[in-house]
Amino acid sequence: MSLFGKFKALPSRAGLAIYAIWALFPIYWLIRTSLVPQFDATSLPPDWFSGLNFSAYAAVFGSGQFLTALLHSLIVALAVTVIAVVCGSLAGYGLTHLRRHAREKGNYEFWVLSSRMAPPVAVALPLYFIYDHIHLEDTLIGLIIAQASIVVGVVAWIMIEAFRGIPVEITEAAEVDGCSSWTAFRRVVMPLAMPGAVGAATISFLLSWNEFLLALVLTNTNARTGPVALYQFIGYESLNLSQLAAASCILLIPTVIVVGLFQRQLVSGLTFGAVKG
Amino acid sequence: MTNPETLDTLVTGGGPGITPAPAGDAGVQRRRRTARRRDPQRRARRLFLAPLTVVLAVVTIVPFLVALGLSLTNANPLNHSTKFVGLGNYGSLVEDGSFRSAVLITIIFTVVAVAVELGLGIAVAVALNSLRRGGSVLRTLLLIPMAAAPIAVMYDWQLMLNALSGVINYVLSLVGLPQPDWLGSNSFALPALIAIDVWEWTPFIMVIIVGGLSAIPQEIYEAAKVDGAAGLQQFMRITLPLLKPYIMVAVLFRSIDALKTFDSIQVLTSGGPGTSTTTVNYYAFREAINNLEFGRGTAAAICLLIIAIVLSKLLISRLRQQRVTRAG
Repeated sequence: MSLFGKFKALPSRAGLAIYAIWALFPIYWLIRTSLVPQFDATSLPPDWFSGLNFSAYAAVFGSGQFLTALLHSLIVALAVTVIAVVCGSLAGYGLTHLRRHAREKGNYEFWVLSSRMAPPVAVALPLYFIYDHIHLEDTLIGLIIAQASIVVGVVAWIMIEAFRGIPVEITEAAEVDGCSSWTAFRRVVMPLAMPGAVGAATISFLLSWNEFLLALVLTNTNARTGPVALYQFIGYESLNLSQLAAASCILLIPTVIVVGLFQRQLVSGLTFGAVKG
Repeated sequence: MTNPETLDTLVTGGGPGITPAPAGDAGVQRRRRTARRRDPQRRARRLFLAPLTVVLAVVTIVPFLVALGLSLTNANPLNHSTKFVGLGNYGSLVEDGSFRSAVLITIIFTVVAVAVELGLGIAVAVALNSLRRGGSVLRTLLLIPMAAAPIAVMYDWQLMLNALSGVINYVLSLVGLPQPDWLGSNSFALPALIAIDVWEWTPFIMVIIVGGLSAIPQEIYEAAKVDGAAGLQQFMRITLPLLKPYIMVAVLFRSIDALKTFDSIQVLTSGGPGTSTTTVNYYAFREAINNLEFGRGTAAAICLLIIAIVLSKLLISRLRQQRVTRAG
């Protein structure tokens, strides 16, 4: 790049740097707060970086309750992801590759989209009543079903996109070769849609792990997940800020790892049909 | 999410119809053949769509009917004589000044937050795109606000925004700027929440636009340069129009989610001070869970659902308009 080119790029580089600082400062602050002793957490001028004091983390790990909640979050997130991707993939294929000559209205897809519009309260409260009657309250299975139903909308949308991007001729060719719809799906088309499925799975994991309101309403002491445990942290420990920060950081780690690992698929999942890199 | 064909289907609502069977003897044969070929396909399609339909029904049909039913009663777990009140809850909501203000606050929050996220997201995406190296590392880092669990980040923000001991006000004091009580003042609480939403969700829009940008072939820019188009012109005349479908999808999805913002309000302001940060979703939650007025709470939630449906139909029809003008 020529010198003039570098100069012209300066405003956008500077702006990007400012944005990056703004985006990452709260994360830095969270990590910092978790690594300073409790009494230093809110002292001014702030202790920008004094050293690595892991006592807060030790205390959080020592409390078995938080770890159990994290385990619950993991189970729920994995189960929800599997359900969402399976349902979404099957539906995406069915909607775009089967019965192609029929009139296709946008109605089914609007219905899929509308599942995201449901305000959590309108879902949580009825489910709370229903679960009470069928003894699913405060269970992981109950939460899995509830979360799956709000996550599956996004995942299905992505998979419909992904399958739409795969030429229908491939399925037609497979059928000419004697495959049933199921075999064509399993052997021929689904493998082509795998990148989209990975992206959708990433988003699903993210949404489920971070989900708060449904977990708050539908679980209690037995099936508590990470976010709810964090929310109730304040009640247990008499407001130890470093421990709160440490617990928050621990809660952050899995999703950051997942996003880091599958970043490319995440991007293409969200913009399917167009990304080249 | 932004494959033009899906948008097309959603927008135009149809494709070529089923070709009618030709008449006559040969027609009967052909009709029988096509019918036989169609039937197993139709059945297969239904089977493939079934799991999704069932799971979706769990959230869209069953709870919706229950919520609808609840909203027509004065159900309250402490009050054992639940009776049917028809549209009474909805009527009382319309008359309730604090509900009307909740609607206004929800609209303000959503419009401002999504607008800022859109502008910022596009700017960051364009800037990222121009980076030769390190683009994808930076992109991963910038995705962290979106990946972080909102509940975890909220306490962090609460610490930082604390009027007396928060780091933000400390830095402001160093520079000599005023240090407001962010979460405790009527005029700053809502902007603070909007800023937090922008912080958290700009990456979402950024990611979609990054994808959209990579779909634009470089040759267009080269041709434009030959024609003498400068940088800003290139952006306005080429980039932005080509990004329109991506922008619309990003705005659609982000708006639907912004209407339901909950975590930040619950943790940081509890709808206050006063009612300055009470959105319809929070209002519904408070009515139902705190005040145990199940009927009223679900009525408020259904009002929000109606707002969301109206908004998304509006956005989709704008998409439709845009396609018509482009084709014509």
